[in-house]
Amino acid sequence: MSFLTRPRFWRNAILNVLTFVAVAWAVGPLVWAVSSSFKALDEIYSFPPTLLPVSPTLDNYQLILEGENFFRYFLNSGIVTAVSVVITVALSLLGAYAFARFKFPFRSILLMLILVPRIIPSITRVVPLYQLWAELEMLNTYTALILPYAADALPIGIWILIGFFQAIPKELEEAAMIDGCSRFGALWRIIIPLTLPGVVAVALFSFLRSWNEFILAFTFIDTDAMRTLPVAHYQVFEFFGIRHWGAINAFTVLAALPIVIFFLIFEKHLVRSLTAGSVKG
Amino acid sequence: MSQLSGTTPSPLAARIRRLVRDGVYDKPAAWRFSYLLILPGLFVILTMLGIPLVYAFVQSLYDVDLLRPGTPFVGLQNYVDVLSSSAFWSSLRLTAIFVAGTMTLSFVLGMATSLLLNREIWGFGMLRAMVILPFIVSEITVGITWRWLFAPDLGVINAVLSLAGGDPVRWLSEPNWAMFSVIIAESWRLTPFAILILLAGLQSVDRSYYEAARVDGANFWHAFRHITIPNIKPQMLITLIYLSFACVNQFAIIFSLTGGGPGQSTEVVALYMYDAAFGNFQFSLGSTLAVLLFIVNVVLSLTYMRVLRTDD
Repeated sequence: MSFLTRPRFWRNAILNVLTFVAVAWAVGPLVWAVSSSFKALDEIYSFPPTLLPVSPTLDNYQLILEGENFFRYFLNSGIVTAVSVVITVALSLLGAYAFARFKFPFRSILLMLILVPRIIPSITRVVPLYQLWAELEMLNTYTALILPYAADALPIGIWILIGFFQAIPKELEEAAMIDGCSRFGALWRIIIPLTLPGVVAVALFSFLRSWNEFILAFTFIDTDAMRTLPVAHYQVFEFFGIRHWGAINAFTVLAALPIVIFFLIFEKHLVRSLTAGSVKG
Repeated sequence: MSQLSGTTPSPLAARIRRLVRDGVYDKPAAWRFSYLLILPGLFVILTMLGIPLVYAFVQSLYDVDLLRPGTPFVGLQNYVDVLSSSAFWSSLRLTAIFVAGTMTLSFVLGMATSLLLNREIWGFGMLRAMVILPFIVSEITVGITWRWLFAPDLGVINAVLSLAGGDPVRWLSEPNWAMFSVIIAESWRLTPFAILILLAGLQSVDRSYYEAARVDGANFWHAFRHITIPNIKPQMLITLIYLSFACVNQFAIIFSLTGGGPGQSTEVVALYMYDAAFGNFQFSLGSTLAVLLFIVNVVLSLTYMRVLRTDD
């Protein structure tokens, strides 16, 4: 048992235990939500609480999926997010291409006009935007959410993609145009495929923000049919009362699941897009 | 561009023509193409970000009250009123406590976790993915997950406390504990961000520095102070700055965890603003607070730019 006497062994053991604690701190609350979501109400009320459900049940999920308009909320979130992502990516590509490729008057002023609004947080524009949509009678529409979400991600999207476009030599594009491509053709067939990692980063950034956004959706939407998932999630207490924790946790799991799956698939890209927004901003 | 080569060239047009000739600018056809490409994005940004901010500022100069007709112009009176009201200073004080508590906790936890993960460790990719999870889920998920953990009667934290022989705490309904609870929840969400940035910094530090230090007999603290910190200083600054923005503008987690209560004990400026506008329909007060909150963001941004510039 000589390794037990080596300080290096004990040092590593202590560090591994601490690592486990750090990981447990991060995932523990979510694991607890998942575990609670599979418990029947009497088990939720039992003391001491059980770590894992003793008799796992899907009743809570059935309550959410059948009792609430869950699929409608999911669809609303999906539509708003998908359209926001498409608009963000498309307009970011166009704008970033112009900034990276051409030298034109007012270039730096225009770049400032695009990047500086990034420091305007949602919380400071929720009041005037609410009044704008109310004036235009556009509260409770997808557009009322899609446009602010796109605007929110666009400055960073353009900023990320300018970097990618600048890394591509201009000659490559000129060669394609000599070979008979139009400028849009060259952009579409040659340049965009090369910027794909940047496009993925922008799309994921926009996806995360739109799917999770709360304050604008909560303020601009007040009909049940138009609610997005985070809003319905917040209002779950109104539906079930504040003590039906099994069903409430089932909602949490269902709302978080798509984003966790996305995260597992795109982890590397996501790390890039999460950090790009702040490091480059 | 015919108007630029017209009969009465303005000084600006002449200057631009000169710049085109010298190759500083592309040909006018390329400009038009560029403006065409930029226009849609610029339009969305200005209408959804810029104009609302201007509108909030204009509205903060009027006395708009939806419950009363008429909107007289009052100049800066709203700002005078806000800055002399105890409600505002109370919310600002709570914001300061919330920001300071969250930044400290998430930075320290983020640094500790990054150091632990920056070893030759089994399952690194999986572990990193796991510690990042709280940053991926929505803020409402964070709020509701912690509301369940902090629940007074059925919550697991109080259950563990009683099993350990302690008394249960009413986490969300006693003022000081409520502030503590929202700081914990927000730190839980933001720690992963600190990990992402700091870990990337740690991994870029040349390992041979540490080996050299060990040969010279340096212990962990020496190495941390004299090698790690100087090498990851930019990442540390970026982390702190991002955390400050995230905390100052935080709304959804506090809103879903305590709603600003009990009483006003967790009503930070963001919640105070929202309540003024949508709880009491005082849109001018809401706009005034929104502008003040925006000014805080501008000050943070300017500090951010200055610090990063001098750091290079």
